[in-house]
Amino acid sequence: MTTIGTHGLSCQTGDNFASLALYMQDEATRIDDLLYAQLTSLTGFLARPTIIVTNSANVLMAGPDFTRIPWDTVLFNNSTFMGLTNTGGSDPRTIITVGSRGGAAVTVPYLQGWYRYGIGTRMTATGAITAYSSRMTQVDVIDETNIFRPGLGSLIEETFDTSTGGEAHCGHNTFRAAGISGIRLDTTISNQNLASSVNLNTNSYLWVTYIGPDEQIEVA
Amino acid sequence: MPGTTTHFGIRYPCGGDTIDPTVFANFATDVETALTTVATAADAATTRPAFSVTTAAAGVAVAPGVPTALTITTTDWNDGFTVGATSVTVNNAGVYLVSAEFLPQNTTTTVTEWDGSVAYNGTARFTLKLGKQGANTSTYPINASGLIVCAAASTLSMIWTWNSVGSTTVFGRLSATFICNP
Repeated sequence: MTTIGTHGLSCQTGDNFASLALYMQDEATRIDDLLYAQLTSLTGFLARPTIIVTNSANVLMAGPDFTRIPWDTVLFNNSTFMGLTNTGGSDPRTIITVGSRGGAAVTVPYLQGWYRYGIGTRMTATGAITAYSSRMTQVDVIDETNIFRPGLGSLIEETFDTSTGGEAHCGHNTFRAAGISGIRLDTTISNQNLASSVNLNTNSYLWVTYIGPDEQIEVA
Repeated sequence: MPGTTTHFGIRYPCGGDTIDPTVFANFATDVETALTTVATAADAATTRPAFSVTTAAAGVAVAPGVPTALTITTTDWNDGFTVGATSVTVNNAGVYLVSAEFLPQNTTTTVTEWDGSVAYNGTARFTLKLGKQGANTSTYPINASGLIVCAAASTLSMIWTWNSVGSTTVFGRLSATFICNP
């Protein structure tokens, strides 16, 4: 047999008809494997790792004060390496982890490359409002496994309450994951309302989606 | 008794089988079917559903204090959605990055706040709200966006709210791009 092309396929030569069945089996198997690899790659492109979480309960903040957002519900997660984790300890909070949590054994390494993340929140004063007092939402992307790049970026939204209907924030940003594991998304909300406390409403959202590896980012 | 491959069921002859033209025809037909399956996946990967629609260039009049789904006038592009009067229906379930841009066009000095939302099935999902301080005619664009898990036949819309005196107008653009399968 003579190999043709670059995919390992071949063609029969001479008059060795006795081997024809084996040849066709070999070709069928090779074609099957090659096409299946392409199919897996293509379907994987439609299943880019993504996680979306939300909070099912209001969070009451004194005014002025700040607090962590207690994410408690995973709305969507098709990844094997992102999840919602409660840190415990003296300053417990729920965070999205990308890869295994920093300080823990690496059991679920992340995909290296670029990620997009975003948040949506709504805060409402429980009573009187100090006009134009600040409401802030902040997402910090932190890699605590690498002292040279502990902070990968942050997203900050701040508005000023004008006394009706509360304040709402949303936004998104990107970060680059260049290690193996241990990235976390930490979220904080704060208010400067002197006149009353402030609620973070239910159905806030925090999300992360994988864009792709560095080498596939093209700059025109 | 012919054998078949693991993934695409390509038929091939085994020892003792008679190899006649039918064997080659089956082989070619099965490879063709496998290629079609891969081509379909390639189309899905490279032609992901997306749309962009806008209001009239002159904007949409919105009464103060009333959350209003903006009327859609122009479809910039549409692949995989059904564009309605004030909403866009998702035909292919999936996770989408949905974005709404708002450009207030008021020239009054009475506006106190703007509130622009991306809405899923009529309910605001991602919102940005800006308060306005001072009696001036300044306007600020708003962008509200985020990931939404969309069911087939669900709707996306752009909702605008502001507090003011008298009706004012706003220009809006709503767009979405497919992120991943649900």
